[in-house]
Amino acid sequence: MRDTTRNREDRTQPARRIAGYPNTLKRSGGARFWPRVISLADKTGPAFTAGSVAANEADLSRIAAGAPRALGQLITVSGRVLDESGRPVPGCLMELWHANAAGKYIHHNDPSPVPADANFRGHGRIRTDAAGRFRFLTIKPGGYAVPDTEAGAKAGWWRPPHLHFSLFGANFGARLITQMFFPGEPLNALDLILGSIPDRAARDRLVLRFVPRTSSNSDEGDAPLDYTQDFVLRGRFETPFEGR
Amino acid sequence: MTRSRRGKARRLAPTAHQTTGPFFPAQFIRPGDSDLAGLTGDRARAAGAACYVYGHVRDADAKPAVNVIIEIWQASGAGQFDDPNFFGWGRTWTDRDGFYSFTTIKPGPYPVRPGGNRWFAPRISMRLIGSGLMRPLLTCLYFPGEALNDHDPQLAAISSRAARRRLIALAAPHASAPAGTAALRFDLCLGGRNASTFLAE
Repeated sequence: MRDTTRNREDRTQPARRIAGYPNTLKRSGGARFWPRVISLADKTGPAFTAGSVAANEADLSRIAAGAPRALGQLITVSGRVLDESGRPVPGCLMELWHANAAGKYIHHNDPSPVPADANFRGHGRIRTDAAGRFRFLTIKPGGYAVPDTEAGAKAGWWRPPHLHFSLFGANFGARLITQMFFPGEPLNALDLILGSIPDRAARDRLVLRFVPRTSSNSDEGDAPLDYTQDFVLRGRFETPFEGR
Repeated sequence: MTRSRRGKARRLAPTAHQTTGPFFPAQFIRPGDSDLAGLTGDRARAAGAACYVYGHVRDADAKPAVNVIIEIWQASGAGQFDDPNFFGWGRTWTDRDGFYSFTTIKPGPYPVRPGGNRWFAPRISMRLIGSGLMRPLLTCLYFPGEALNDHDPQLAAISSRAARRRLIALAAPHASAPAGTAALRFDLCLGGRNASTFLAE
């Protein structure tokens, strides 16, 4: 029975160090990672209750109900959160943030000169339902040029359109921070961050699937385009430390 | 449960991590998230010995690591993770000097196995995320001068004395520590030869 974690080559996870992305070289940990003893601290986690998230937080496309929409293509992003056994993870707190349609974030660190959008909320949260499902309404983000003046930075690097996700899961050990990409974007194959995952199937699981509409557009003046993907969190197979 | 053709339970591969990038929304870090003790925010005042945990986070070049998000998870003063009177999770981020702090209570020890007689020493689990961290960095803060540290299974799993020592905070006063708290300094280094002791995922 496995009672501690170890360093293993895992081609489904990104490399910690990426040539051309200098910050990774300074923030990737030391030469060695020590075995982590799995304990109750990994099998438990903060209980974010239903009351901790407001209903309108799943709509990033406007700053308040009834307010004008942000510029850009209106989309939904939906799916399920599962554990490694394929069981749904209900009550999973999810955080989503991304750039506006022009490729600019609502953040004091974003130096980009491209236009801001006062109608764009830019960040949102949701809790998965009893079946582990979520559904966000937002606008498709733009790609953007990464500042490349720092020594070692890849010249001409553009981030593809992408969504940032943070998931809390059922326990502290299940925490996931990742990004989701859009299908058919030529920048996907050139992105250092998506490309840092060696396994192709693992990369593909970070690309949203486009779902063609089956209902009429006529009842919604601003019918969104639909995208979907599932998330799989760690856990369930991790066994508690048994002691000797 | 997903099953292969042979009927054996098949694991789904966990979704890959990616960095938060530099634009983690400030709105996600709420007032009170760094005060687990409930001394200042809207959380209930927690039972136990209040402490102020602080430190500097530096990168491999020994420069202040700004905009690093630190999340902690810990047992209550009674050593419980499901204590209804203590929300043992907190989050903060480093400022432009790479400085961070939490106000919390000293967690109680908890048994390795329910009902067993081996114990984890008081400790605070930490997860670091941020720009340039393609995966989270995991570490754990231990308290200085604890007799249980000598028997803690996690510390015992680290064969280097120097690496073990880097997990133990220093008792060191700080001007920003709220009155009545014990101040503990826990500096972190994200890479290079002076890297902190990080634990495998």
